[in-house]
Amino acid sequence: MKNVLQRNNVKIIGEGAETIIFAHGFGCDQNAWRSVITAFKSDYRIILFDLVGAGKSDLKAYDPNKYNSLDGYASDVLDICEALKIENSIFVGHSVSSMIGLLAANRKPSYFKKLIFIGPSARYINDSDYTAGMEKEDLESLLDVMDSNYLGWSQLMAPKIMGNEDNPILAEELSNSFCATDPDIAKKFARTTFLSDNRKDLPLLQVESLSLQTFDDLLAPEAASQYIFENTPGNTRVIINATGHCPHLSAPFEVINAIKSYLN
Amino acid sequence: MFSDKLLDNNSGKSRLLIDTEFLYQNSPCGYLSFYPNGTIIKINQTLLSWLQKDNEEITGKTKFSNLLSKGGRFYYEMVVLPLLQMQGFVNEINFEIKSKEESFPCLFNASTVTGEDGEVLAINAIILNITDRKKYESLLLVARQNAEEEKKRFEFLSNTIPNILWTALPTGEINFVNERYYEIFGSKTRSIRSGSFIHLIHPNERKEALAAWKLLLQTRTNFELEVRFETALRKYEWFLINAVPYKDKDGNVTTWFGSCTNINEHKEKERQTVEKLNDSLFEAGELINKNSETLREIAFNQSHLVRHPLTNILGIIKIMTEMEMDSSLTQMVSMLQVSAGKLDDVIKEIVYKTHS
Repeated sequence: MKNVLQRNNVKIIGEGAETIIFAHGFGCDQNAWRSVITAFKSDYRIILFDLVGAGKSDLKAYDPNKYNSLDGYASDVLDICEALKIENSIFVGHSVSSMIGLLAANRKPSYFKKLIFIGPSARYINDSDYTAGMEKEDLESLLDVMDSNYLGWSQLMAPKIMGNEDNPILAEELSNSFCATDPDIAKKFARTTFLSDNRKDLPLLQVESLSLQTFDDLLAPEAASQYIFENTPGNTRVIINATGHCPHLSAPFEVINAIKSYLN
Repeated sequence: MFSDKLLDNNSGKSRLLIDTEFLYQNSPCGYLSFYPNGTIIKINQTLLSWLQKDNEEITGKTKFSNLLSKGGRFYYEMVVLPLLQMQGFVNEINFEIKSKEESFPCLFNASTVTGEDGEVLAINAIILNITDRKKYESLLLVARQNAEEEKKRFEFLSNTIPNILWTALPTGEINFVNERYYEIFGSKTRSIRSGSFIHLIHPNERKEALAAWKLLLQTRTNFELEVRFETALRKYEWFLINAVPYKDKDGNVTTWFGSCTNINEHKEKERQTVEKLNDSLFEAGELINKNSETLREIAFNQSHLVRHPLTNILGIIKIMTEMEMDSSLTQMVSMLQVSAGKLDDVIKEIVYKTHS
């Protein structure tokens, strides 16, 4: 159990009978939820964690074969639920973690009461009869940009590598480098994310779900959440007054209100 | 002073030098301000000229991310914008910016303007055109990729070899072993650390091996040692350890390259050969002993046979000495007696020596 909690850098905060699990998306770590969780911590027990390879997760636990598909990440979510004996939880997933949550719920429906997807997409790359806004070569182009910003990673990571884990003040400041990921892992995660296709998993969902859609979300356009709405039993789709792929950062109040009104 | 003179001068050109709007518009870097949703509020002339666009086409009409390549846009949305929102700034992000006809690489530094409640109101950015530097950087990137490729090739090659290959730091700390190492010693040894070889060595040879290795690190010469290692099957097998120092142009050891070759079969054959040789020698010895026994028996038997007539001769000589003889005959019998006595001594000697 300790291993699972360390592996995924699990943090438990707040008090309440019900549990909300927040799962961050590609490119960030659990710190991305900081503006949202304040609105829930007096009423819920909140579970935060880092996907393996991101944030302060155990990089040694990164197994390219396991994390070659979103199922590997879904297994980790189930591990966390088992370790903390979580049943009937609310799972909030951003971006790729929406489908990670869905895969986990398909495997163990009893662990989840409701799923909330922020900027979800069942498939990121256009298919013959499916439009998601991204072409295969766009993924290569993204990987090129990630390559070009490799050096930036070392710069962001440098203080962390110097080892200040024992100093809480420094550690706090360093959490600002929250988008820094080992470039090799980041690229593999990008491939796993953007080459995933979970369209066949949508009809299997037995848990109620909510999708939050923003305007101008380049990665998960309206067509993506519309597809999920049409193919997932028990899905509700809400368009919130926010733009871009990270409304929990750019418009946290909109996200908080949408989640609260769905839960109540 | 020169600068004072310029500031005092009221002619149009000099006034521009301290005019902030002029500095903003003509600065050697691009300036850009946009709302959190990306809509551009203000842009300077320098950047407009790089983009080959007019102010009217951009301000209020274009979003920042529309200036970027497709991959850059995704990266901005997923990594850069969250970073800006989290920490209020980003530095040295490398984007490709599209101009009218082509594109140019840039470095993007930005900081946020926030309201009282911490809400991001706008983002201010500077953009440096790094076309030349980027070419150099691309070369560096290619060089690094090549180096990594070479490393992978080395590891691939090293895994095709039936021997254990390893490298060590100048301090002797093992920093690489090929897959064969794990096949032979088991994956429990996955975490390589200094001394992981040592504890696998047979206790009888451990002390000697450690001393040899320590001496080697000082003498920095080639190294050969035969030791027994405990394999994954928990039995000891003989290995030949080789090590060669790789030295830089100043003669300092930068890496130790080494191998461990399983010589157990060879050692076993060597042992068997020695055993066989011992057996043959023993057999030959046995044969020689047997032959000399036979010879001894022959000598013993023959000497008895020879002794019988000699005893008769000695008896006759004794009788002859008691007979009357002339002096010359007496002398001859006496000589005969001496010779027969000598012959009797020799035969006695043979009998004595061959008597078992």
